[in-house]
Amino acid sequence: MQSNTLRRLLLVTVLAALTATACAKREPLEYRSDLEVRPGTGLFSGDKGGLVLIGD
Amino acid sequence: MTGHHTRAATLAGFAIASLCMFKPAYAEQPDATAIATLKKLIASQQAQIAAQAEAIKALSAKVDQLAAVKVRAVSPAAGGAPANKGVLASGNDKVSARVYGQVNRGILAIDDGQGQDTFFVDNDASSTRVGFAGHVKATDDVTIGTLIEVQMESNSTASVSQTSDRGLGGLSFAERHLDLYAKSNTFGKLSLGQGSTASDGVSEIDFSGTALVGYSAVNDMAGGILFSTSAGPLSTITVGGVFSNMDGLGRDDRIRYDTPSFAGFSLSGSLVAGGAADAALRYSGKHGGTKVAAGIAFANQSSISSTTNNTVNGSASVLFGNGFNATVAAGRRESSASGRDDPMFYYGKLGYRANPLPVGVTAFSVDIGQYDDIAANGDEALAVGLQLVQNLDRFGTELYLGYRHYSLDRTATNVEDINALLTGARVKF
Repeated sequence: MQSNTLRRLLLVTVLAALTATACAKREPLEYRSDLEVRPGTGLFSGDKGGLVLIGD
Repeated sequence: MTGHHTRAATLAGFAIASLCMFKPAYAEQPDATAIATLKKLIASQQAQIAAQAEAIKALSAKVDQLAAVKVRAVSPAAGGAPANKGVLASGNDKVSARVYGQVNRGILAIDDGQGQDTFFVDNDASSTRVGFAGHVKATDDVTIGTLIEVQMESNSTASVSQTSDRGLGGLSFAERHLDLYAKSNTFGKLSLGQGSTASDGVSEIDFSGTALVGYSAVNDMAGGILFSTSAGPLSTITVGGVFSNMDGLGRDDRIRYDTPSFAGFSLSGSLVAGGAADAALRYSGKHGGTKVAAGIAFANQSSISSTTNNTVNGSASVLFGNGFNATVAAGRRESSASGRDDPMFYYGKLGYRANPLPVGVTAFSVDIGQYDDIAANGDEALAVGLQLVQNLDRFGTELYLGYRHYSLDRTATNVEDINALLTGARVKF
C-alpha cells in the first residue's frame, strides 16, 4: 500500500517535472548537492566562501 | 601775591600738568612683549610645520616603497602583469587555490521504545570536513584541477548507539576526494583518483533545502541506533542496516568521464578499482521560474561485492518559483546470493522554501520512505520525517531540526519503533 503511494508520488513528480520541462524555454542550471560544502558566504572567509591562497 | 608765591604756583601747576600728561612706561611695555612673544611663537610653529611636512614626505616615500615590496611578493610576474590576489605567491596568474570547509555538529535524542538516550554528534549527512581545491586555466578551454577533501567525524550519527555513545571517530581523517581532473567545455571532464563515481549522488538529487537533516538516506540521522526487541533487550539490528538509498558506487578509486552538457543532459561513466563500473544520465535545467534536476544510474558491482550483482537507482526534484518543491528517489539491487530477494526502496518528499525572516531562506519538508529486503528477506522498513532548516546567510550557517520515525517489520522478530530528533548547526568557514 505504502509502496503504491510512493510510486504514485514518484509518477506525479516526474510528470510535473516533464510538464515544466516541456512548457517553458530551458535555461542552463548546474545542480549542486546541499550535502556538499555549499557555495557562498563563509563565517570567516566572507564572500569568497573559502580562504583564498592564490588567485580570486 | 608775591613773586615767590607766583613761582611756587607755577611750579605746582607744571608739576600737576606733568603728572596729568605722564604716561607710565608699564602702560605700553606689555603689548610690545606680547607681540614679540607671539612673533616668536609663530616662528616656532612655522618651523614645526615645516618639519612635519618633511616628516610626512619621508613617510609617504616609505609607504610607497613598502607597497611596491608587497606587490612584488604577491606577484613576481614580470612585465607589469596584474598582481595575483591571495596571501601566497604564484608565478602563474591563471592559478586559483583555496582552503574551505565546514563544521556540522548536533544533538541527537532517541527513544527506542524501551528507553531514551541523548548523544553529541557529527551529522553524517554532511560531515565536518576540510578541503583544498586548486585549478589552473591551461588554455581558454581547458582547466586542470586538484581536489583534496577529508572529513573528521567525532561521534558520527552513523556510529553512536545505545551501547557506544562517546569517543567514536576521534582524530582520524577519512578520505572523501583525492582527485585530479582536466575539464574542457568542448570535450567534457576526465577525473582520476579517489572521488565520486558516475552513480554517486544519483539517489540524492534534492531541491528542498532540508537535505542536511533529512533526505533519501534516511539512515544518516541515526544509523548506529539499535532496534529494541519487544521483549526488552536490544537487538543487533541497526537503523543503518535496514535502510539504504542505494546510491550507486559512492566514492571510490576510479577513473571517470563526464560529457559536456547537451540541452541540460550529460552522460558519465566510471571504472572502479576492483573491476566495478557504472554509468549515469543526469539532467538539470531552469524552465521559467521552475528548477528541475534528475538522474538515473546503473552500476555493475559483481566484481567487488559478494551480495550484489548490480544496482539501478535514480531521483528527481522540482522546485517551483513559489517555493514549493517535490523530490522522489528509488532504487533496486539485484542480489547475487542464492535465495535472496532483491532489495529496493522508494522515497518521496514535499517541501516549501520561503523568506519569512530577513536572515535567510527557511525550508520545511515532510518525507516518507519505504525500504524493503535491505538486510534480510521479508524486511519492510518505513521512515517518516519532518525537517526544518533556517539559513543565516551572513554567517554561512544553517540551523536545523529534524524528526524521524523508524519502524521495521521483520519475520519472526518483533522490534520496537524508534523516534529520533536531531538538532544542530552547519557552519561553513
